Amino acid sequence: MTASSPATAPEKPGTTGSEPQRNPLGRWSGIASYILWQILKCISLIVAVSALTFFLAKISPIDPVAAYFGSESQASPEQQAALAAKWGLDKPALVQFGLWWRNLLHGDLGTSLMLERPVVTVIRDGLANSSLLLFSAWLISGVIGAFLGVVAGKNEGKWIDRIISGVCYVFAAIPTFWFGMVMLLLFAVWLGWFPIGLSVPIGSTLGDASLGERIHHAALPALTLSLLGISTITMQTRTRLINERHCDYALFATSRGETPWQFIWRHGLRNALMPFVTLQFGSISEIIGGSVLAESVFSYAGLGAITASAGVKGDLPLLIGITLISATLVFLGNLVANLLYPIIDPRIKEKWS
Amino acid sequence: MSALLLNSDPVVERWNGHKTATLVFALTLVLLLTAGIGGSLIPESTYAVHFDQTNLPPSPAHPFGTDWLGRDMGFRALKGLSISIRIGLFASIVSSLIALLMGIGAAVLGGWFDRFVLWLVDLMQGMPHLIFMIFIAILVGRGIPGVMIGVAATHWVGLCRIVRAETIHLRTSPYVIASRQMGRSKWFIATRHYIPYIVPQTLVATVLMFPHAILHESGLTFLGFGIPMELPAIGVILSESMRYLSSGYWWLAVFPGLLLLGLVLTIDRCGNSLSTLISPSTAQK
Amino acid sequence: MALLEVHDLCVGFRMYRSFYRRSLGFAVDHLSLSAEPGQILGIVGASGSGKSLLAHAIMGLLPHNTVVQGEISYDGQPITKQRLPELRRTELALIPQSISYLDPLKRVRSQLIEGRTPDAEELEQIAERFGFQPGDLAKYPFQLSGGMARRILLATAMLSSARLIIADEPTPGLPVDLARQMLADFRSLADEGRSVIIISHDVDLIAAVADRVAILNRGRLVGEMSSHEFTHPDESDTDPYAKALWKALPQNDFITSVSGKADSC
Repeated sequence: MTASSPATAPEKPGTTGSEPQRNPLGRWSGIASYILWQILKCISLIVAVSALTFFLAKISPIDPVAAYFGSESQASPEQQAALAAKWGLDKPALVQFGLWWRNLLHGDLGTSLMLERPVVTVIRDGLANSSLLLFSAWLISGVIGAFLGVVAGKNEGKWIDRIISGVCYVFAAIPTFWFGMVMLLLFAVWLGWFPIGLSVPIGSTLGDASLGERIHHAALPALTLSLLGISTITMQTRTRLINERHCDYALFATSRGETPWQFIWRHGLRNALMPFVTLQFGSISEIIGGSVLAESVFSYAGLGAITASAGVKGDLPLLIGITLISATLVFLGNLVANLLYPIIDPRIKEKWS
Repeated sequence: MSALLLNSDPVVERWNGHKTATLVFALTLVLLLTAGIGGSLIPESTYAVHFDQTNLPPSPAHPFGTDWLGRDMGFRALKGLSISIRIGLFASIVSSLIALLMGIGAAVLGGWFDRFVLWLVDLMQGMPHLIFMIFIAILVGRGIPGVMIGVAATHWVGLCRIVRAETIHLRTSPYVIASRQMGRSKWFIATRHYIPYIVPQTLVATVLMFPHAILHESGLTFLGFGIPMELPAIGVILSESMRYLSSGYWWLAVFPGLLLLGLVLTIDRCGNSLSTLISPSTAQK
Repeated sequence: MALLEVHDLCVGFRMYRSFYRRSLGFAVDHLSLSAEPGQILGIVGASGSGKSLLAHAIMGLLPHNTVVQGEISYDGQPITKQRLPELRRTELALIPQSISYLDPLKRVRSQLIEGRTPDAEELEQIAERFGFQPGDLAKYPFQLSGGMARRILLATAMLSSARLIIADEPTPGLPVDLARQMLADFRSLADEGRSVIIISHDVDLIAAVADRVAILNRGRLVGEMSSHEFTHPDESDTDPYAKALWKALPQNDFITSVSGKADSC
């Protein structure tokens, strides 16, 4: 996971390239229609993801019935046919999709093959376990990233900037899982400051463990997860701040006697806020993806670890469910970001109507 | 601020941005070729099993130590590096080709194809890469094909957006319109106008995509979906060394990872220096 | 005594000549001029003659790959890096070319005075003085019309305590009556005792309001004279380029070819 160049980081998630945003709900204008449109977009994307995953699963060479029964089972052809009929596999694809969606709306995403529990329950429990980890990694990368980015941007070219930029450049190239292993070696095995794995002390369940113990166990994985986010956000914030310093209004501000720090405080931060919001909510995607690796390294019992085992065991229903839910989370994050934009930049409201 | 320049005495300087970039590019390219080609030439005998030399920490005989089967970690890791390079390269090239096709196609054909591509791009940008790659890898059946298809299927998105935007920009730029009105064939316009503009950017983007592909591939391999365990891929090595971490055999994890990190950084530098040399916006540094 | 003195100013850029060699190109070449309090100095010249660079050089706003030689003095003392921030706050003011020089995310009223937002009473006075509607000052820069934008930019200079005001292309895009109004405002600024430098290629408008006119061509000062001498070139022995510049105006002879030494470098 290397730092993506500014050209590939989207200015706004959910839009592609440089088309100006125009109001397709032309008849109604104003902020209400903007909100409505963003919500509609979000929903359509979620439906689209489901269509994509369904379509891909359909064209895959894996036979769901054979996968369900496993290679050692002695299910007779009649039993297999019965299951196929039950799942509606003999009906046309669109009908199957419709059936699947009907189940979806009732909260039924199928049953996990390896855990033999409803997919929805598995995902729900997994998310609950991972939430501490995911949220703290998200927070850490945002706060530290912003801080380092501002410091580096303000001191462009000086040694503090070179150090921060250099470190971030390297950090963005580090494989997440390897970094986790190094942290494990350093802080858990050698220094013994943190536990070597798991999300709760051995022997206790999630309900028993205290918040302190949970934090203790989540610390190293959270740090590992936030690594990439910190470097990306730092570098992009730095770039954005430097670009702002080269803008016309920065020239004018300097001509009126503003010091660099005054400029950053009064103008730079607000103008750099939009891409920061984009990045911060966009990092949800990388954090969710990275949690699969981080949780595997630390044996942290969360959704990521479940995803890894689901993949190894070929548990297709669970995988489809996880893909769908994680994509939904990302799209929801983008929705929040899109809703925040008009608050930050009044020009968006103007362009919309 | 357009300035008409007057006299211009050449500035005498030993080093400038362009010279540095060329040097860096050349060095990194040589390094990568050595690692990729040289690594593939390493015979298996160099990391053969030696049960009497298990779990040795780094020493002059074995600078990277040995693993629990007595295999030399250095040679194993270097071999794994070359595997990663080749797979990553292949996946990036395929990914770029997909991106070019989709991007140019969307810009030129317009209409429903354009809308379809935009829809797809919006979609793919939302999905967490790793999860989608696992999904695709499983669908295809794991192993090397699974990894390559998974990586190629997720990484085309960024480049596609850029290519599409650039092609659209090109189509409406005055000199292309003039060319068309002068009666030039579509082929002429494609080869003389579009390609010289897009190729450098695509090249740079591919080189910069390469390390992503490698990192994702080793992540997938680490989890067990990618390169099979018989090959000494870095992901495999690291996954195996997990078992020995708590025993403190640090060299099993640290060195292979460092090699991977070094590879990624080298490719990154290569891509950045190439970008400096090719793209005009950074050309004046 | 002159408020501003520029002596032998040279501004150059490091640029790539071939792929591997850079060289210095000078965009302002040994320029010397001065500005007096209570006077309007007009700086005219073609695009690319170095006018904006001169303004930026005086304010110390040049980009960092520039090479600057020569001396600029304000109030008798050379302008140094240490003096600059203080000078910019209190003594120097730049009126920029367009509204893009304001922070797009801040309302206009908080950008009028450096460092603070005027309270409601002051805002009323400002609105009255400059002819704004009450609601205008609460707008964002992108919501302003062209004429309003120019007046806001002018207001920022007039509300400051600066004694030297440099206006960079204040008139493009304005209808003639508004442009004349703006120039009248400059006149009143000068009458307050401030020194005003107007950079423009609206030759006739500037000549009408300026006391002295400096003509730049390709980074060099071609001539500096009173505006009367400039507008009546045949009566005085001025540089051929200056003469030709005045005569090239449509309302004059409209001759667009230049004879004489102005083309040589």
